[in-house]
Amino acid sequence: MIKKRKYGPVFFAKLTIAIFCFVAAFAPFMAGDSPIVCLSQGSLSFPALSKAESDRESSGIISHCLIPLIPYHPQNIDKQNQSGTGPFSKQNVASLRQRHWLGTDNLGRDVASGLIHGTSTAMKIGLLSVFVSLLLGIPAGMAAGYYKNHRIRFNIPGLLTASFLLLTAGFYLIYELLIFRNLPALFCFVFILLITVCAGISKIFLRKRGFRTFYFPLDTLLVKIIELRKSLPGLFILLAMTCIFTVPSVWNVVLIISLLSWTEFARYARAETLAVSEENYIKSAAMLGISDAVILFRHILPNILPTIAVIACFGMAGAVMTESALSFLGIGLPVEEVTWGKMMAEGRNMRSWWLVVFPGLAIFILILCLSILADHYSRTIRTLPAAN
Amino acid sequence: MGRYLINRIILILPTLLLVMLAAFAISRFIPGDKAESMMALQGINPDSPVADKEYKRLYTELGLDLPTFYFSIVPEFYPDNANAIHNLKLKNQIRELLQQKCRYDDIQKFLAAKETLVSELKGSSDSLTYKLLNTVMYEPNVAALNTFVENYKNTTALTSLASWPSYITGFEQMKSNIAGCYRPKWVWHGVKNQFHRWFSGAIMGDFGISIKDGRPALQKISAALGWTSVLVFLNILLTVLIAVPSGLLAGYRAGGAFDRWSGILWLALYSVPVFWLASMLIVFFTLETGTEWYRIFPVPGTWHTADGAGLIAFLFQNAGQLALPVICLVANDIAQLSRMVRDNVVNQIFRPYVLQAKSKGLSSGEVLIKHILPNALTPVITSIGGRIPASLSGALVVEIIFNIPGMGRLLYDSIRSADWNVVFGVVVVICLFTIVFLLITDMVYALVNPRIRLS
Repeated sequence: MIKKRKYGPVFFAKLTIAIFCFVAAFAPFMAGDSPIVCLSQGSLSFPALSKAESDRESSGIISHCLIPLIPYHPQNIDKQNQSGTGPFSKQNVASLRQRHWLGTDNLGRDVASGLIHGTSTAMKIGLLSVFVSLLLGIPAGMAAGYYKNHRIRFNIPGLLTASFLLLTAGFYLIYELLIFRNLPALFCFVFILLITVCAGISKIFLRKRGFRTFYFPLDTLLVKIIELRKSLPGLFILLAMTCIFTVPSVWNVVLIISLLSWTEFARYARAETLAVSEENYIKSAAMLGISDAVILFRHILPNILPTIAVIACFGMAGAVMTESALSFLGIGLPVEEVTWGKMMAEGRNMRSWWLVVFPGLAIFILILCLSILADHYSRTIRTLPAAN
Repeated sequence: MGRYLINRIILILPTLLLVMLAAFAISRFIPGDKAESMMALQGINPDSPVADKEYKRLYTELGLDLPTFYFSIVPEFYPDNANAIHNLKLKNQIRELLQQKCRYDDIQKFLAAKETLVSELKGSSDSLTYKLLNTVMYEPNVAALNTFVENYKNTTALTSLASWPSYITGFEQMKSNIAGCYRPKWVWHGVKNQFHRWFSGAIMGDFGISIKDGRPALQKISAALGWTSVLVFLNILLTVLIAVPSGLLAGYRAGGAFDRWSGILWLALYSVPVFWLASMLIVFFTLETGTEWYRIFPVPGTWHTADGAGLIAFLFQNAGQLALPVICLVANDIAQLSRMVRDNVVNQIFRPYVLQAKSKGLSSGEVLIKHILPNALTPVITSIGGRIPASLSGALVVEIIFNIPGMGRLLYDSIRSADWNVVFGVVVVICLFTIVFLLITDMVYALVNPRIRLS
C-alpha cells in the first residue's frame, strides 16, 4: 500500500493545470502593451479589456496606470531588439522592466508574451475539442454498451419509413443550411420533428404483429467504426481534411480533431458501460420499469465519470499535441493566432534555442501533467480496456 | 487459419472502399476550380480569346463535366447534371441563381435573352449602356436585378433595343417561378461519373498526374513510400531492440531501481512531442551555427545518393542523416512497448513453468531468455502492428522537419502547392499500407498464438 501524500505528483499536476488555465483565461492582463487599469483625468478606464485598437492607445494625461507583467503584446514589434535577441544576450531596452526575459524572435516580438497568449490558444483548442469529442463519443459509446447487439429491435416497414424520413430530412437540411442558407433554426426544428416522427412510426410498426423483427447490431457497428479509425494514420487524414476550408479558423481545427478523436472516447465509454450495466442495481432498475434514458443518465453516467475523466485528460493532451503540430507545420490555423508551435517552427528555422526550448517546455509540462492526472484517475477504475 | 485469413481479407475491402469514398468526398469539397488551375499551369491567360475554348477542353479532359457520383438527389428545379455547364462565367452565375431557387429552364431562357441583350448593348453607342452593361452582365442577385428592371423598364434608350422586352419577360418569368417548396429529385447517372472514373483509375494505381511537374502521381508516391518504409522499419527495429531488453529487465526485477528509473525516463520521452525533440536536436546538435564539439550531425536534407548502391550501403552512407529522425521516432515509441513487455514478464514470472525451469537448474538468464521471453513477446506482435498508424503520423512530422522525401513530406508539399491528385493518392496509399500491415501482424500473431485460430 502506497502511502497517500498530500503534496504528491497529482497535487502538483492539478496545480500546474490550474495555473495553465489561469494564464489562458487572463492572458491579456498578463502580457500586453495596454495598461490593465488606467487613471486619467480622474476617471478609471480598463484599456486592456477593450478590443478596439484606438482604445488601447489611450490619449490624454495618465496619472497612474497598472501595466501588465510583460509589457509587450505578442504582435508588437520591438525594432531595437530584432533578429532574435537571446534571453541572456545584451538587450537594447530602457529598463529592467522592459527587458525581454525570454528573448525575442526574428521580427522582435517578445517570446514570453507569445508564450502566454499561446497558452490561451492551446487551452482553447484543447478544451473545445475535448468537449465536442465528449458530446459525440460518450452518447455513442454508452448507447453501444447499454443496448449491445440485441436490445434495439426493428422490422422492415419501420426501418424503411424511418430511413426514408431521415434521408428526406437530411436532404432538406443539407440544401437549406449549406446551399440556400436560410432559416437554419426552422430547419433544425423540422429535422428534430422528423426524427421524432420516425421514432413514433417505428414504434407503431413494432407493435404490429406479422412483421419479422430483427436486432440492430449497434455494438458491432460502433466497434467496426472504432477499428476503422484506429487503422488510419491520423495526421495524414487531418492534413488532408484541413484543405477543405478556405479560411483557416480555430473552429475548423477543433471540428477535425474531434471528428478524428471521438472514437477513442466512445471506446472507453462503451467498455465501461458494458461493465456497469452488468451490475445488479442496473438490472433491478430495468426490472422496476425505469426508462432507459433515466437508467443511462442517472445510474450509468455517474458511474462512468472516472473513465470520462481519464479519457478527457488523454484527449486534451492529444488535442494540444495535434494543435501544436499543426501550427508547427503552418497548416490549418489562422496566421494572426499566436501559438507555441508557430514559435517553435520559427526557432527551428532561425536556430535560436530560446524560441524552441520555452514553447516546447510549455507543451511538455502540460502534456506530462495531463498524463499524470489521467494515470491517477485510471487507478480508480476497475475495468479499463487494455492499452495496446 | 485459411478461413481466418479469408475473413480478414473480406473485411478489408469495405474498409478500403470507405477510405476511397471519403478521400473522393474530401477532394470534391476542396474549393477552387481544377480546370482553372490546370489552365494556369499551362500558361493560358484567362482573359485571352482562346481561354473559353481551352477551359472547355481541359474541363472535359479532366472529366469535370461528368456527374459526381452514380446518382444524385437534388431539388426538382435543379438541372440533372450541373457539372455539364462548361463555361466558367456562366457556371458561377447559374450557381448563384440556383441558390436563389430559380428554376433551371427559366435560368437558361433568361441567360439566353441576356446574351443577346449584352451583344446589343455592346453594339450601341449610348452613354447609358456603358453604365448598365456591368449590371446586366455580372449581377447575379435576383432582388438587385428586380430593382434594376423596375427602374429602367420604360427608359427610351433601352426600349428601343430589340432584345429588351424578351429580357424583361425572361426575368419576370424566372422571378415568378422561384420555388418556394420543392421536392427532392432522384437522378441516376450510371457508370459515366467522376467517382467511377477516379475509382477505376485508383484501383489500377492511376491517381492522375501531378499538377506541379506533370509526372504521374503514383510515380511520386512510390518513390516516397520507399523512404517512409525505411524510416518506419528502422523505427520499429530499434524500438524493439531497446524496449524489449529494457522491459525484460524491468519486469524481472519489478519494483527495483532499474524498473523505476527506466519507467520514468521512457514516460518523460513519451511526453516529449516529436517536433519539439526534432527541433531541439536540430538546434543543438547539427552543424551550421557554431563549431562546438557536440555539433556532430550534418545539416538535415543533404543526402548521399550513390547510384547502383544497395539499400544497406545507402543506409550506412547516410547514417548521420538518418540518426536524428530515427532517434526522434524511437524516443516516442519505446515507452508503450517496454511497459507492455514489463507487464507481461511480471505476469509470467510467478507461473509454475518458471519455477519448474528454475528447479531444473537453469540460470536466471536462461529462464528469462528461453522460457519467459517467448511467452511475454507474443502480445507484443499485435502491439507493433497497432503502432504503425501512430508511427506513420510521427514519420510525417519528422520527414517534414528533416527534409526527407517520404510520404509525409510529399503530402505536405502537395497540400502547399494545391496538388490534389497527389494528396489523395498519398492518403489512399498510406491507408492501404497501414491496413495491409495490420493484417500481416494479425496473421503473424495467429501463427504464433494457436489459441487465436478458434475465433
